[in-house]
Amino acid sequence: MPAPLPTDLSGADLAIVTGELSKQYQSVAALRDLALQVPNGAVFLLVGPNGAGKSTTIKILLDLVAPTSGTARVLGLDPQRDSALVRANVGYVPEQLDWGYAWMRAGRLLEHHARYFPSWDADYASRLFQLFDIRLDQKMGTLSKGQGRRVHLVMALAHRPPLLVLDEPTDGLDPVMRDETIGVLIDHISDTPTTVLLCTHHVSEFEQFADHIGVIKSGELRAQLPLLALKRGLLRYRAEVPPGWSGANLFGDSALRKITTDRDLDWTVWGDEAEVRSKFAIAGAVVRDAVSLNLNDATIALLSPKEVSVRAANPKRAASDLLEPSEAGK
Amino acid sequence: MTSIPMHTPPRWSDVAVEQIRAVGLRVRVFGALLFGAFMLYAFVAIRVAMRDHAATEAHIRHSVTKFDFTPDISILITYLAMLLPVLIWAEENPKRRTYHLAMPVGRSVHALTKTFAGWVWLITGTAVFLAVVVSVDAVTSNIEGSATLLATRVAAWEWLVPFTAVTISYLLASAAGVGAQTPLIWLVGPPIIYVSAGMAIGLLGYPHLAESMFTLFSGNYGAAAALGGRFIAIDAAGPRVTRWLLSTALWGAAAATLLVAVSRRRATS
Repeated sequence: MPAPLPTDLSGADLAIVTGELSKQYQSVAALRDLALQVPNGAVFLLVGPNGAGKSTTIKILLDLVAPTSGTARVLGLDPQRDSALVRANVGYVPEQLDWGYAWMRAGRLLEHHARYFPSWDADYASRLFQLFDIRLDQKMGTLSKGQGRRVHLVMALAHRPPLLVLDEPTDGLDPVMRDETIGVLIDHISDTPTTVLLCTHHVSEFEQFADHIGVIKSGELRAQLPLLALKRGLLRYRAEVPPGWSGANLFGDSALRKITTDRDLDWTVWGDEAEVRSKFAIAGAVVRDAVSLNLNDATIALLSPKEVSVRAANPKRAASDLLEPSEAGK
Repeated sequence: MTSIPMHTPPRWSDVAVEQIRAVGLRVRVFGALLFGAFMLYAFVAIRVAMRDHAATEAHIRHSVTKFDFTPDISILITYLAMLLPVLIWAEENPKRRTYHLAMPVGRSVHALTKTFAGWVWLITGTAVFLAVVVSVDAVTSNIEGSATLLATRVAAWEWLVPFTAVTISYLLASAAGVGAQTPLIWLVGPPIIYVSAGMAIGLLGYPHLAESMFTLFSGNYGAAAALGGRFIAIDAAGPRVTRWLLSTALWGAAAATLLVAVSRRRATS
């Protein structure tokens, strides 16, 4: 059986580490024994569906909410004990778009924010709001989602923190501004040694510069690993199988998405490619190709395991025909 | 850990100064309206004094319009002081306070610093109010040829009552502003329940119990003594000061304790 999806990065120098972190909101478990490990200097994508616990994790890391149980360390500090010091070293873009004071003008809010961060780089802030075309004289409450988000990004970046915690940073931005923002983030990371914890639903936008990924669902960490390892280990196999083939449980939980017909299969399997091919061969399946997934498809596979099996009804139909239109042809 | 040095949190004095500026910006309309009301009062008072002075017949004189100062007058600004925290913490109830809480300052210290910033403006406003009262009194006394408040009528400690009264009122209201989702309900609800319960108990045939309940407000060290210097015997100068000091200390400590307790509150979601 191939190895299960990795969830341990403890060999690395870690900027964020949580241990058995749990959060209960009345009867709802938002987090269950989360063991998040973000390596120092990494751009770590934390992905998961809505309500998976991503924002709750961030709020615990910043001591905005208290965990029900478990531990957390941020840059070697305990967020509950050293909350002010932790927040002084974090650039935070929250999920909510109405963050800040709606009654304050954008320029005054930036000035207000700057006074809380002695390391505020005024020249850099000035360059950023020119680049983002921020109207400093407008009240925050009257800004559009995208304009407000750009102000939040300046607030997070301009004090050049060692850790950036970005919760949906491109939410509300138009495609051009998304592109600009990603460019700014890339420049920032190359200028300033920074660890980035980034929660997003738009994973493909960050594929070019993210290097680690964590997958969280229903408050549980499903996987966390370097992106390179994900690309190497999570492959989509297309194979021909003999009639009546009975290898459905060949890889256990390591086969994340399985589309099988009478004559072929289209499976997404986690594991060493040689080992997976060997197992297919032993089971009588002839692998036609094994392709690596882009980050978006890999995320879908990790978050949404799927099993479709079609027998006899249309034996001439290929497994790839059973994919949803968006997945076909990839 | 990191390859760049760790950043330090801001100095408390920098945060306090910035909070005073930001809160000032927040309450500037309220302050301007209040200042306008003070000016209106000054204008009316001086006009009335001039008219009274010009009147030769005693029946035209409107003695009821004589503007004066007693500690009771602080009740007026005490009520206004209750509204200030509602304004300062509006849009920032515990569910929406993540911006305030995400700043690099301890949660409790930050809430108390913001409260302090509001208090600075409140005390400034109170001082302006008293300055207007004294100025108007000086002008009207001069017009009427009578003695000024400063010269004769008000004991030195009585000038402190408005400051302590608004402070207690402000601290109590701030506890509601910092700790409650809907502070107005907490400011209005408990007094209504208290008065209604006292009256109901009295009507049900337990007048002594009702009376005991009302000592919380009107007793020797009740809220009325602390907030307005009320129900203090006029002719007992020594005990008046003692009762005011004790009631102020008691109510001030209670309000401050409540505020410190709720200031530790995190975001609720």
